Amino acid sequence: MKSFLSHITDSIPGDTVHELDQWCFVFPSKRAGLYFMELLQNRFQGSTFWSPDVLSVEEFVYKFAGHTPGDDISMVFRLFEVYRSLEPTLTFEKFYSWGQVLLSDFDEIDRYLVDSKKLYKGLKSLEDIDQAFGDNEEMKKAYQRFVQLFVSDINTELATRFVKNWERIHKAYDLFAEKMEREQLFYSGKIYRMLAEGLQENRITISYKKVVLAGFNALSASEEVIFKTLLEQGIGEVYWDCDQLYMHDDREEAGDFLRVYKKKWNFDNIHWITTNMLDQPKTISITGCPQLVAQARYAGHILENKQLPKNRDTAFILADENMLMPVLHAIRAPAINITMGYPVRNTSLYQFVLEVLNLHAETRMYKTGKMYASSRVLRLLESTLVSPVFIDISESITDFIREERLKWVAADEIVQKCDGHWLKHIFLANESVDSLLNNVNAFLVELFYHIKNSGEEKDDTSPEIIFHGVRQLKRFAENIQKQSFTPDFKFLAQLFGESFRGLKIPFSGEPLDGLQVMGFLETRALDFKHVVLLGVNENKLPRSGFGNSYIPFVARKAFGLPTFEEHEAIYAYHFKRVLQRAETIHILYDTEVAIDGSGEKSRFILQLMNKVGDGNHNLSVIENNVSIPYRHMETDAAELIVHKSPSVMEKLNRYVLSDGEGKIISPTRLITYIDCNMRFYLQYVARIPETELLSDKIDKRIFGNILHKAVEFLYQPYTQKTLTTNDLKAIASQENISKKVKEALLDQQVIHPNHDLSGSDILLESVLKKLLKKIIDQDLRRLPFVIGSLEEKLKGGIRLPDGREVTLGGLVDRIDLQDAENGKVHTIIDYKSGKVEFVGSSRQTIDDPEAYIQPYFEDGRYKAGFQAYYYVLLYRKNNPDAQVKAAIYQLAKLSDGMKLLRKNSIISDDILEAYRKNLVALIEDILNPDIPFTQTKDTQKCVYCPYTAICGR
Amino acid sequence: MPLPLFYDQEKPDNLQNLTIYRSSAGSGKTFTLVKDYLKIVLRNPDEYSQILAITFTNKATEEMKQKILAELAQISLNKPTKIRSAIESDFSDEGIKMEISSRADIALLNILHNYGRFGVSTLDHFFSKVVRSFARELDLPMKYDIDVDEARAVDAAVEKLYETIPNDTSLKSWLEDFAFSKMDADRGWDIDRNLKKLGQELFKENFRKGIGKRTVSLKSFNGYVKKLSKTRAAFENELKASAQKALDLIDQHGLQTTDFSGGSRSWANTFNKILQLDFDFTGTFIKTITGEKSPYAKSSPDIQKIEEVMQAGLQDMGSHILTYYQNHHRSYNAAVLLLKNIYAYGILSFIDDKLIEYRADNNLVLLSDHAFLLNEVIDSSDAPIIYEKIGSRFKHILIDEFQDTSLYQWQNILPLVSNVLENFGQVLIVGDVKQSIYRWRGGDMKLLISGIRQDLHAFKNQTQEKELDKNYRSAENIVLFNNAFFETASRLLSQNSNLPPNDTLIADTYRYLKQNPAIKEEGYIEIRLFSDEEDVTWMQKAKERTIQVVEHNLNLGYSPGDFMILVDKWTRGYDIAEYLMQNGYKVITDKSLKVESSAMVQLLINAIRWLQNRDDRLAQANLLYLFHLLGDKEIKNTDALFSDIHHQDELFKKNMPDYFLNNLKVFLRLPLYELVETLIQTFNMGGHTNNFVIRFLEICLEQSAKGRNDLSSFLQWWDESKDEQVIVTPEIDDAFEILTVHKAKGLQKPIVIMPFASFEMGTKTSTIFWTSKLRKEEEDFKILPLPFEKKLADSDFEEAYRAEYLEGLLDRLNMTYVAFTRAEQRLYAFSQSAKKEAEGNYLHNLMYGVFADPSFGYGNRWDPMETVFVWGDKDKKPSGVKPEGKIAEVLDIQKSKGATDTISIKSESGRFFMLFDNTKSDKIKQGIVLHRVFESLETRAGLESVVAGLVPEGIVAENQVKSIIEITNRLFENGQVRSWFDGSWRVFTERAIISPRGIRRPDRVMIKEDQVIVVDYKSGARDQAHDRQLREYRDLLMQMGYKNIRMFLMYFNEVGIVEVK
Ligand code: SF4
Repeated sequence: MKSFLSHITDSIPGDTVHELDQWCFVFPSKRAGLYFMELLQNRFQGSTFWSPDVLSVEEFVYKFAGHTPGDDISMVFRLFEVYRSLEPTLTFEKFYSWGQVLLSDFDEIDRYLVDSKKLYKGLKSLEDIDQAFGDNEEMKKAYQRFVQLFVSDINTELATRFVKNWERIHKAYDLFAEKMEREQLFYSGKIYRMLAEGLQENRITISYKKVVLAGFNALSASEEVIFKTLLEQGIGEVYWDCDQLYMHDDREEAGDFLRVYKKKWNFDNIHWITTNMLDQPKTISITGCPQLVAQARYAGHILENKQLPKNRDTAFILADENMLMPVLHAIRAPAINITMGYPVRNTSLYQFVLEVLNLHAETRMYKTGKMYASSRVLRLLESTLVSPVFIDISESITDFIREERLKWVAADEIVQKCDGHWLKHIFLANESVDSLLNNVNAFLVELFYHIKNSGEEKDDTSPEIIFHGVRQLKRFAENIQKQSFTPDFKFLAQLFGESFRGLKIPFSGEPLDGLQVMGFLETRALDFKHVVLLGVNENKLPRSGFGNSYIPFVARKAFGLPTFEEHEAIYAYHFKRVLQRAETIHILYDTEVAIDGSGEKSRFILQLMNKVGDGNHNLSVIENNVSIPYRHMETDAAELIVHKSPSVMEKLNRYVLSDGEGKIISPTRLITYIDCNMRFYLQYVARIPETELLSDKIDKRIFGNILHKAVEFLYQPYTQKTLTTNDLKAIASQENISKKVKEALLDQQVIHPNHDLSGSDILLESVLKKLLKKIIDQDLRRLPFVIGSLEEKLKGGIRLPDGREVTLGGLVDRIDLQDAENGKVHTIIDYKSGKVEFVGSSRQTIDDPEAYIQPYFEDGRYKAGFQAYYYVLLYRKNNPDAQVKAAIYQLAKLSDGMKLLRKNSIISDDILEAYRKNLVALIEDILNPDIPFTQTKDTQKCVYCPYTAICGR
Repeated sequence: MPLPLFYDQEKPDNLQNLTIYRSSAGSGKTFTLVKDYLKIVLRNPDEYSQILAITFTNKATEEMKQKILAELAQISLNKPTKIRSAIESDFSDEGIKMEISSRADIALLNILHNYGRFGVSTLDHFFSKVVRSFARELDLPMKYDIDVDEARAVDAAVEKLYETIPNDTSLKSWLEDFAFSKMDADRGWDIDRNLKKLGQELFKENFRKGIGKRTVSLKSFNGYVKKLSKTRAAFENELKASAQKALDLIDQHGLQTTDFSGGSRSWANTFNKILQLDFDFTGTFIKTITGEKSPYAKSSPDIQKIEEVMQAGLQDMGSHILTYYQNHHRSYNAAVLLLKNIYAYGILSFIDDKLIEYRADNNLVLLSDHAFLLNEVIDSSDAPIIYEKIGSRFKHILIDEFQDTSLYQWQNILPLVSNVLENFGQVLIVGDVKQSIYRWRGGDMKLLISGIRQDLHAFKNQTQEKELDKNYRSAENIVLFNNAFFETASRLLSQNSNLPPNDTLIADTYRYLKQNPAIKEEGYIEIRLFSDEEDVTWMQKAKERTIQVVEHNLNLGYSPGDFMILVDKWTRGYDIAEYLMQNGYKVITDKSLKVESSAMVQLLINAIRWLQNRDDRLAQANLLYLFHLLGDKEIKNTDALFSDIHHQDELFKKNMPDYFLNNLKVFLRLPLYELVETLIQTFNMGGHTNNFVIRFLEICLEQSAKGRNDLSSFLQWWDESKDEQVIVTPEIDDAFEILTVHKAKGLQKPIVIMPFASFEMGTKTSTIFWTSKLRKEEEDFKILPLPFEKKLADSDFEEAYRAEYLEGLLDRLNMTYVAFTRAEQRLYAFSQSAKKEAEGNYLHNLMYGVFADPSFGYGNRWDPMETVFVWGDKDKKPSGVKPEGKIAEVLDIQKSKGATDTISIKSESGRFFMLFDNTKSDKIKQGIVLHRVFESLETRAGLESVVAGLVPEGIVAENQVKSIIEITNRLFENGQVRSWFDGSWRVFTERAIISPRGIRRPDRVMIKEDQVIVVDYKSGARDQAHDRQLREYRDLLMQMGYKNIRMFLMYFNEVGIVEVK
C-alpha cells in the first residue's frame, strides 16, 4: 500500500523540481524527513537538484520567530527569582517542582494564545462564558462554580489555600513575562505565540515559496494560527493522514482534531490522504503476557516464528521505553535501527555520580575537618566503576573503616590513603558547588582515559557513556554557576539526578534498512508493513500522568487548553494511524495490573475488539494469552548427599588425636551436626565460610561478646574470694559498671579512643549496663559464694571404643564455688544472650537418665543444656571428685534469672554417663566413613542457615 | 448553600436514592453492583462519566471494569444474560420501558472512547488522585512517588531517630525506658526490632486519630507519666506500709504468720505477699477479716494470742487494707497497665517526625498516608472544590465491601456522598458486616451497622435497605449449615460475661444471617475434632486426615486446583504445606512463589554477589555448585564436586566458562539488566528461563529504571526486599493452594479444607490496643495504648477492655464465617477436642457448644462420641464440566542470542577532549567550535544567535560565547570572507543536493546572479581529498545548471582559505 509520504512526493509537480530549494517541508518528526528525502530522490530519479528545507515544526517556528527557548532548569531558576518576591519564605528546594508545574502552565497559556488575565481573574460576563462553552450547560455551571471560589467567600480550608495560590500565580505570570522580555530569553510556548501573532499582524513574513505541512494531528492554538495564515497567504499546503474509521464516527477520539479542521478550514491546499483500514485485509494478533520481559521475549518469538522480514518493513513499536533493553536482548536481525536512545539512567555511571554528590551532601564538620559517612564511602569503593581499577586502595580504605568500625571518616584521611591516585578527586573536601562539580569532572576524565587506554577487552560503551555524562555535567555546572544563589549539595544531587535521568545516548544504526525499533511518537507520518506493538496497556497507551497542572479542568476547557481528553485523543490517533497501512499487526500487552490498580489492557484494544465484533471488516483477529513455564527444567531441589570420600575423611580425622593434638571438637560444632549434618559438612569440613554480614551496628554476636567480656572484667578482681554484699554493691556501682563496659567495648574494638558509640549502639550500652546490674542483683540473692574462675579454658580427650581419642574443649564463662552442706559445690555458669530452650522434664524422664539426655542429642534447640553438660563432663575429667551443678543465665529473659539444670541438684554420675555415651556415639557417627552427610529433615533448621542456595531450601 | 450540581428541579417525590445492601457471602454482590451500575447507564448512557464505583482491591477493580464492559457488549448484541434479565425485570417493576440494547451500545462506545472517565477504583486510589490534585494546598511536592512499603519507611525513620540520640537526652531516656520496659517484660534486649515493630503502629488509623494531631505537648505528657507513677507508688506504699504494720504487730505478739489457720498458707501470709506486691487476696483472708471465718484453727495452741492480736488491731489493719484496696485498686491497675506501654506513645511521636522527614527526603507519599492527609483538611462542604480539582463530578456513588471501610475513608468520601444525595443522584452501599475481618487495618464495621445512618441522617427519608438473601455459591446443605451454625454460635458468644453489658453488636452483626440456597444440590460437610494423645497430637491427626480427604476427593475426580486449604496464619500454612509435600503433592504457598526459591535465580544472584565481592567464598561456592547442578553436565556428580569443594578456587577455574572468567571487568561495567541477560547467555542457561527467571529479569529492569544499577545497591535492596518478591501467580492446576483466610476473602473453590480450625476467639493476651475510652484526666490524649490483659477488666479501663474483648471476638467469629462460606461443594474443618467444658475461648470450644446446643437444628448429625459432624454424601462425584480457560500459548523461551552484540551506541567520544580544560587541545577545540559556528551561519548578522544556540548543546560554554564571537569577528577581517557573509548572497548552509548518486551536503553554497561559490570548512591539515570533495560538489552544481562556480576550502587553522581550481 502506498505510504503517506509517497502520496506527498507523488503530488509534487514534476516541473517544480528545480525550485524545490525554495520549498519547505515541515513534518512532526525528524525521522519522517529522512524517509522523505529518500522518496524524493526516487520521485525525481535521474535529476540533480537542491533539496527543499525539511524541518520539524519547532525548527520552523524558532527559525522564523528568531528565538530558541532557554532550557528548563535555567527557566525554573529564573522563575524563582520573581516568585521569591511573592512568597519570601519559599526556598528554592521547595519551589523547584512547583516551579516546573508553573512553567508548563505558563508555556501552555502562551502556546494556546490564552488571555492570562481572563484566565486568572475568571470569565465573568455570561457572554464570555457562553462563548467558551457553547451550549454545554453543565460545563457552564461548573465553570461558574469554579469562578465563585475566588469571587465569593467560600472559606473551607482547601478553598482558601487554593485561592491564595491562584492569585499569586497570576502575579507571577505577569512578572515573569516582563522578565523574559527584559532578558530576551523565552520558553517555547512564548516563541510559538510570537510567531503566530507576528504572522497575524503581518510583522513576520515567511520567505519560502511553498510550505508543506504534513502528517500533523493535534495543533496548539498558535500552530493553528500559523497553519491558517500560511494557507491564507497561499504558501501553505497541508496534508492530513487519516482513516475513514475515525473521520466518519464522531465518537472515535482518534479523529477529534482532524474532524474539526475538516469542518472549519476550507482551503484548496488541503489534502486528505484517507485510508480505510477496516476494508484492508489485515491479520491482527492480540496477546497478553505477564509483564515486560515476557512481552519482549514473545516479540522475539514472533519475529522468528511468524517470519517477519528483518528489514525496514518491520517495526517494533514500544509504548514503554523501559522495554528497550529486553527487546534488544530478545530479537536478532542483521541490521537494526533504533530510534530510542540508550538510557543513561540505566548505567552504573549515573548512580555513581549521584552517590558521589550524596557523599558530599552528607558531611559533618569535626575539629579535624570534614567527615564523610563511612557507609557512603564504602558504597563508592564498592562501585564497579572503582573497585576493579583501584583494588588495593579500595581494599585498604575499606579495611581501615571496617576494622576501626568508623561511622564517620575524615576526608583528609581518605584522600591520603588514595596515595595521589586520581581516585582522590571524588574524596576531596569541597566548599563550593563549583569545586565539587570540578572534582567529579576531573575524576571522570581520568576514568575515561583509563578505560580507553587500558587495553582491556573491548568496551565501546563505557567511554561513550562517560562522554555524555561529562558533557551533561559540564552543562549542568555552567547552569548552576550562572544562578544568583547556589543550592546545597543535597539539592544539587537531586537536581543533577533529574537532569541526568532523562538523558539518552543515540544508537548508531542504519536508519533506512534495518529492522526498526522505535517509540510511538517516532511513528508519526511513517508506515510499516509489519508492526509489533509492545506495552499496549492503559497508563502507557494512552500514557497516564497528564495533569500536573494547577489550572483546573473547567478552566482549561473554557480557554481551549488541552485536558486529559485531548491528551488521550492524541494517543488514539497514534495507535490507529500505525494500523492504517500495516498488513500484519501484533499487539502485545501486559496482563498484570500495576500496584495502583491501573494498567489494564489498553482501551484501544477494547475499541478494536468492539469494532471487530460487528463483523463488518476484512480483519482477521486472534486473541490469546501467553503463559510462562512454571519451574521448567529446574531441578526440584534434588536431595543432596555427600559421601565420606578419602579426602573428606582426611579432613574429619583432624579431630582425632594421633601423636600430636587433635583439633578441638567444640560443642557448637556438635550441635551443628545434630541440627543438620550437611551444614556441619559445609561449614566445618568443606569450610565454606559464611559471608560476614558487615553491620556498622552492634549485632547479636558482638553484643554477646561485649557482655561476656564485661562480666569478666567486673568480677575479675574478686575471684577466689568469698563475695560479700559489699563486694557486690561495689561491683554494681554505676561508676564501676560504666568503667567496665567501656573496657569491654574497647577490648572488643567496638569503640576506639577517638571514636565513641553512636546511634542505637548508645542504647545498647544502656541495655548492657542494665543487664549487668540484673546479673549482679541475681548474684546478691545467691550469696555467699566464691567465683572460682572466669572464662576458663577447659580441654580434655574422650576415648572412642576403638581406642582413638578425640579432643574436647571450650571456654566456660564462669565457675562458682558454694559451700553446700555436703562439701563444695561447683556451679558452671553460661551466659546466653539468645533464646534458650530446655528439655522439659516430665516425671518419667527425670528418673531415667538415658531418656532425659536423649533429646539433647536429637535437637539442636537445646544447645544451652547440651553445652552445659559438655562442660560438666570436661570439668569432671579434670576434677573427678567435684560436685558440679550447671546453670544458665538467660539474658533475654532476665526475670527468670538463673536457670539451674536438674532442678538445682548436683549433676549425678549416671546422668553424666548417659551424656558421655551419647557423645561418644555422636562422634563415632561423625567419623564413620559409611554414614554420608545428608540434609536435615526439619526445614525449620534451614531458616537461618547460610547454605540454603546449595540445598535449595 | 452550594448550587445543586445536576438537577435544578425539585426533589422528586418518594425519592429513595440511598440504598444500603446487606449482602451475605455468595449472595451475588458483584452481580448486584454491576446490575445497578448498568441500570444507571442504560437509563442515561451519558452518565457513565459521573459514576464513581469503589471496590476494595485492585483485583476487584479490574474485574468490575471487565464485567461491566462484557455485559454491555452482550446486551448491545442482544444476547441474553442473567444480568440483563434481572435488569429487565427491575425496569418493568419500576414501570420503565425502553429498548436497552441500543442504549447499551451507546454506553459501551461512550466508555470505550472516554475510558479516562470510567470511574472504577479503590478508595485509596481515589484519594490518592484527590490528594495529588491538592498537592500544593497540602504542601506536598508537586511530583512524588507513591509507595506502599510501610515497613521500609519505618525502618528508615527509626534509623534516622538513632542519629539524633547523641543530641537529645530526653529522647535517649525515653528510648531507654522503652528498652527497659521491654526487658522487664522479657521481650529481649533487641531494641531495634522492638522499635521497628512499634513503628508499624503509626499506620494504624486508631493511632492517627490520637497522636497524629499532636494534641498533647511532650512536657505535659511527661507530667502525666509522672502522675501515673505516683498513683502506682502511693497505692503500693500504702498497702505495703499497712502490711508491714500488721506483720510487726504479729511479731510483737510473739507470733508468726504460720501460726494462723492454714499454716504456711495461712490467711495472715497475705501480709507477706503484699510486701511482694501481690494483691491477690484469698477468699479466706477476706472472710477472716470480715469475721466470717475464725482466724485460727481449732486445734491451734495459740488461740489466746491470736485473739489478742486480732483485738489489738490486726483485724482493723486487715480491713483497712481491704477497704483501701477496694477504693483504689481500679485506678492502680489502670496506672500499672498504662505504664506498660506509655513509652510507646511518646516514642511514636518521635518516629512520626522522622517519618515525615523520610518522606520529604525521598519525595514519596505512602499509599496509606493519603487518607490521613486528606482527613486533616477536608470539610463537609468541600465537594465542589474537589470536583473542580479532579475535573470530574459524580452524580452517583457505588461502594462495595463497605464493612472494611475505615472511619477516615468514610469521612473523606462523606462530603461527596452527601453532595450526591442532595442532588438526587444514586448512592449504593454494599457490605456484609459478618465478613468484616480487616479491623487491624482500620476497617470499621460499625459504620455499616450504625455509622452511616447517623452521618446521613438528613437523608433518612431517602434511604432504603435491601437484603440479598440468596446464596448462589454453596451447595444447599452448606448454606443451611452455615445459617444454623452461626446463628447458634453468635448467640452463644454474645452471652460471654466479658462483653459490655447489654451490647448488641454481635446480635446486630449476625441479625440478617439466614440465606436461601439458590443451588439445590447437596454438598458435603465434615467437621472433626481430634484429641491430643501421648504420641500423636491433634494437629498430627488433622494433617493425616487432610491427606485422606485429599486422596479421596482426587479419586472422585476433583483436581488439586479445586481445593482451597485455609489457615488462620502462615506458620500453620507451612506446616500443612510441608506435610502435603512429604506426601508427594505439589503446593502453592506464599513461600513457594518467592522468586528466590528458584535455583536459577540463586545462580544469578550469587554470580552478582561474587562479581561484586570476589572474596565472597560462599557466593563463589554457590555459583560453582549451582552452575554445576543446572549446567549441561552429562553426569551430575555433585558428590564428587563436594568432596573436593575445599579446593574451591581450582574447581571454580576449571568449571566456570572461560568467557566469564576472562571478562570480569566488562561484566562489572554492564548495567544491571544487561548483566543478568549476559550471564544467562554466558552460562548458556537460556533453557532454564522459567517464570522465576523472567520475574527476576523483570525485577532487575524495575530496579534499573529506579536508578539502582550499581551492583552493591541492588544487592542491598535485594537482601532487604527479596521476601516480598514473588512470581506472577501462575495458574497451575496440579498444585494445592494454601491461603490465609484473609487472602481468601472474595474467593471460592469447590472444596475448602481448614486443617487447623482452632484458634483463640478474641484478642490475644497482652496485645497492645489503642483505646479512646479514657478518663477525664487523660482526655486530651484522645487515645492511649493498653495491653489487653484480664486485669484491665478490674481497672478504670473496664469499658475499654470490654469493648476490645467484643471486637476481638467478632474478628474471629467473622473470620470463621468467611472461611466456612468459601466452599462451593465441600467443607472440611479439623480441630481439637475440648472435652472439659464448652466454655473455653477457642473455636473448638465454640464448635462443641454449638453442636451440643439444643437450638442448633442439626444436632442429630453430630456424633459426640466420635466428635464428628457429617452431613452429605462423601462419595458424590463432582458434577459439571469445568469451564475452559483462555487459550494460553506457552512461551517458547529457548531463545537465540539477542541483538545486543550487533548494535552499538553512537561513537562521539572522539570529541571527549572538548569537554575539559587542557591547553594543548585548545587549538583543536577552537577549530571544531568555529566549524560548528560557520556550519549554520548564514550572514554575519546572525552570529550572536548562532553562537548562543550552541550553548545548550554543550559545544560552547557560556563563558566562551564572547571570545568565540571575537575570534569569529577576526576572521571577518578577511575581506573575502566578509563579503561572503554580508547578506548579499543567497546562501545554502548544509543544504542537501539530491542526485542519482546520492545525497550530498556542501557546507556552504552562495549564489548571486550568475556567480556561484561553494565553500567547505575544514580543520586539520591540508589534504587532496578535500579538493576532490569540492570538485564533486562542483560537478553536481553544474549538473543542476549552474556555471561560473568557484570553490574554496576554509581551514580553521594556519592554512586559512584556499581556492580550489
Ligand atoms: S540449608 Fe538446611 S539442609 Fe542445607 S545445610 Fe542448611 S540446615 Fe542443612
